Amino acid sequence: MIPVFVVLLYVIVAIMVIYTIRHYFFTLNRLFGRHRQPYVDIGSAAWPRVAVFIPCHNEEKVIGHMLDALLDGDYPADRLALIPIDDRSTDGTLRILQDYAARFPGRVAPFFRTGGTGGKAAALRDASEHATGSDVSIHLVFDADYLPGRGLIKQLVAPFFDPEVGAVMGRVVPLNVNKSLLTRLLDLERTGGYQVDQQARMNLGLIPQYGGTVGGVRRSALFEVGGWRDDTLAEDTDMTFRLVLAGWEVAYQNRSECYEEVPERWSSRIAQIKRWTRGHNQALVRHWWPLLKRPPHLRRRTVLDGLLLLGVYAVGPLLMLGWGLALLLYYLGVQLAAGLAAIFAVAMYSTLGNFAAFFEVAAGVRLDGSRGRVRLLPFLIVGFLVSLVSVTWASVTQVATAWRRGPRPWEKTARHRKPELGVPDHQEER
Amino acid sequence: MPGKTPAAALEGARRLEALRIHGHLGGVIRPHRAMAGIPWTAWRFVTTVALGLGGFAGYVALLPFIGRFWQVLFERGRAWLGLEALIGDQLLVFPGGISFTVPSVEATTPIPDLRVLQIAGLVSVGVLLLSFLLPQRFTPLRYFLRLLAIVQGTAILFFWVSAEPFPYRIADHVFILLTAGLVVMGLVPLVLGLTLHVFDLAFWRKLGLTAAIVVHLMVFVPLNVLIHVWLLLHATAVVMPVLFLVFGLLLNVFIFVAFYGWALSWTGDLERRKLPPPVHLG
Repeated sequence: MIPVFVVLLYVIVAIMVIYTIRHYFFTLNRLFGRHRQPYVDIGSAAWPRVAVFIPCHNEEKVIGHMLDALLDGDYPADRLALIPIDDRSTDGTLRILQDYAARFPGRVAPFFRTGGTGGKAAALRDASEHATGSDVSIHLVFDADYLPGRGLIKQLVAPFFDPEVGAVMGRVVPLNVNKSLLTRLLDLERTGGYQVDQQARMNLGLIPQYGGTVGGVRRSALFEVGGWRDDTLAEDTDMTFRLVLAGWEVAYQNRSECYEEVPERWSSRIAQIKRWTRGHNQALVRHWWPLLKRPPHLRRRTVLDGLLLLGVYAVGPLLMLGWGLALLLYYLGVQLAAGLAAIFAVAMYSTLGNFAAFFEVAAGVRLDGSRGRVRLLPFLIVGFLVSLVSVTWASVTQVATAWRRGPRPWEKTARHRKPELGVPDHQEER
Repeated sequence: MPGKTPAAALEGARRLEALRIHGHLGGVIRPHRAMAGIPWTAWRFVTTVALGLGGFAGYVALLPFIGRFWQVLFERGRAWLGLEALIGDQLLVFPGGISFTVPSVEATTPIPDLRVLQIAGLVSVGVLLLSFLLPQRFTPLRYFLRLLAIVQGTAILFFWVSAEPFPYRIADHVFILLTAGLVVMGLVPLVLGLTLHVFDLAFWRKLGLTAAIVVHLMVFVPLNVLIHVWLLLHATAVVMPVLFLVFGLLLNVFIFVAFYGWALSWTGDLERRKLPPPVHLG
C-alpha cells in the first residue's frame, strides 16, 4: 500500500508543479510580454443594439445604484435596453424596478420571474429567450451590485465588431476594499486574477474566462450553443467552454473596469466560493473530454490551458489529499527520496511553489501603480486556508450527493451596502 | 528640422517627450494601469543575473561561516534555555562538494506516556472548542486552530495506537529543519532574481533585501529550532509533528514572503524619476 501512497503523492506534486509553472509563466508574460488589447480604441462606430441583463434576487440595497450608473452611460439610449430580471424578490426590489420602468419607459424593461428553477442561470435563460427582440445582437450581463462607468458599455461592445468574438469579459475591481481584512485580501486576489492571469491568457491567445458579469455574449453565439443552461451553478464557466468548443473567441478587456462589492463577511465569502466550486466542477465534468479530444480549431496549448482552467477548483481537494498523504508518510517514516535529496526537494517545492501565487498578486498590484496594499501579501495565506477548506468541502459534498437529481440550490451572495447612504465608499488611496 | 544639429534635434525630441507625459501641477501622465508594463533594460538583465547568481555564490561561500555561527548560537542557546542535551556538530556535504558543519543535538527523545497523551488530548479539544467559540470575523484563525488540532490529534492517535516506534528523534528533527532552512536561504537570491529583481527597484535596495532576508533567516532558523528542542524536551515527541509540519519550513517561507511584499511597496525608479511605465502593446 505504501508504494501506492508514494506514487499518488508524486502525481499530486507533479500537478502542483504544473500549476506553479503556469503561474510564473503568466506573470512574466504579463510583465514583459506584448499586450493584446485590440479593441480599446474603438470610440465611435455604428453601435449595435444591446440588451443589458441584471439578475436580481432581493437587491434593494444596490439595484438603484446599478440602474442609475447604466442610465448615465454614454451608449446611445435608443440602442440600449436595460433588463433587470426580478427573480421572486421578497424585499423592495420589485417596487424599485417598477419605479424605474415607469420613469424610463422603453429604456428600463424589467422581466419578472414568478416560477421555474431559481438562480442566475435560469433567470438569464428565461429572460434572454423572452425579453429581447431579434434586433438585439449583444447580451451583456451585470450583477446587481456592480457600478459601471460611463463608457463601459461601449468598451464591452467594441470587441464584438470582430466576428470571431463570441464573449467578452471586463475587469472586476472591488469597491469596498477598506472594510475588513477579507475585503483587502479579496482585492489582492482579484488584482492577480484579472490584471495578470486573465490578461496573460488574452496575450497568449489562450482562454480568458467569461466571468458572468462585466461582460457579455453575442446573441447568435449564445443561441448557437443552446442558450444559458439552468442546471449549472457557474453558467459563466460553462458558457466559456461551450463557446470555445464551438469555435468562438473569448476576449478579455483589461481596460474595461467595473466596480463590485466583494463579500465583507467570511460566511458570505465561504458560501460564494462553495458555489463557484460546485459550478466549476460541473463544467469540469461536462467539458474536459470534449476539450481533450481537441476540436481542429483549438491549438494544443489552448487545450492544455483549458484543462488547467477547468481543473482549478479540483486542485483544492487534491492538495488536501496531498497534505494527508504527506502526514501519513511522515508517521510511517517513509522518505520520498534518499537523505538530503528529500530535504532539498521538499524545501524547494515549498519555497518555489508557494511563491508563485504571491508573485502573481504582487506583480498585479505593482502594475496597478499601487504599493501600500502589497504589504498584506503574507496574509493571503489565511484567505488561502479558508478557501482551500471550503473548496474541498464543497467538492467532497458535491461528489457525495452526485446521485441526487434535480436543480442545485442557488446561494445568493449577501450585500452589505446601505441604500440610503448611496454608494458607500470609494477606492481607498492606492 | 532644417538648420538644426542632430544633437539639438535630439534634445528637442526629448523635451517634447517630457512634455507629453507632463501633467497638471507637474504630475506624470501615466498610461492606464491596464496597459502598464515593466521596463526591461540591459542593465536590469545584468543586475538580475548578477544579484541572482552572485548572491547565490556569495551565500554558498558563506555556508561554513553560517555553520559556525549556528554552532555558537546553539551552545549559547543550550545555556539560556537550560536544555538537557549535548550540542555536537555534523558534517553536511552539499551537491558540488561543498562541505561544512552544522550543529547537532544529542538528547533522548521523550516518548509521551498516557498522562501526557491525555493532557495533549485535552489541550487539542480545548483548541478545537476555542475555534468554534471565536466570532466569525476570526474565521482564518478558527480554521488555523482546527488545522493545529487535527494535526495534533493525529499525533496523539499515533502514540496511542501505533505498535511501531515513532520514526524520528530530536536529532533528526533538528538536522532536517536546519538543512531545509539552509536550502530556503540559498533559494532567496535565486527566487528574488525571478520575482523581485525584474522590477524597477534600485540596485542597492535589491541587494539590501537579499542580504536582509538571508541574515534574518540565518538568525531565525537556529533560534526556532532551539525553541523546538526545548518544547520537545518538555512536551515530548507528541508535539513534533505539529512543530515540523506547521512551525518549521513553512514559517521560513512566509518570512520570505513578508519581506518580499514589503520590498514591492517601495518606490520604483520610474516613479522616483517621474516617468510613466512603458506600454508593451502587441
